[in-house]
Amino acid sequence: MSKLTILLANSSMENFYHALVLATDARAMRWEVFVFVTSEAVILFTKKRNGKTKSSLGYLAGFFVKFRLRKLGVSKTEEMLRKAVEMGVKFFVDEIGLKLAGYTPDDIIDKVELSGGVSFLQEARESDVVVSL
Amino acid sequence: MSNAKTFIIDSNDVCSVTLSNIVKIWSNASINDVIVVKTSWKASVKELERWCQETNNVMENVSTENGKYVIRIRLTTPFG
Repeated sequence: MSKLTILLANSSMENFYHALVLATDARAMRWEVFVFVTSEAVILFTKKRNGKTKSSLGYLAGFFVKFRLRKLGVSKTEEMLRKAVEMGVKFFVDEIGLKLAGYTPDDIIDKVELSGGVSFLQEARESDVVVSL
Repeated sequence: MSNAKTFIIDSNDVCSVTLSNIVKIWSNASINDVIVVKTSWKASVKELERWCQETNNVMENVSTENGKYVIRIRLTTPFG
């Protein structure tokens, strides 16, 4: 079985969307998929945000992009995250990043685990494809 | 093959969401069941062709209907 590891360090809608597309596509091909979430991206995995994103393009441009995405029938990132979890994508949140952002381990959404740099390095070393976003 | 079921996915969502719906059907389907995908996304044709190659399923036919691509996939490999 092939294996994909994604390192997500940016909380923008664009990066999160790309991570979710690659993760779900890989799972659809029955690959093992690990997504390591660090830095500011950890907030996306809190119960408060639950996968909701903001565009990095600023308010008006971001609003326009979201409007266009809805018009095209593209799912929201929170819906894609739910599907990715259902499909068996394994998400790991960096505990240091979480605490830096002012959250505790109790604040992360279900089926997401805590991890650190060692876990990422081990999975990345054994992966066929590694993507950093 | 006469007992084969046909499942239809009619969606304008991007290929990743369509793929996740295909996998959901595949996980409960039987060998020789058919999934028909109707999509407005042209790239889905190539994506699903590659998905079939990767998972050893068969893309039987591609046509167009009311401006949508109609992709017929036969499930020839058990899920899992």
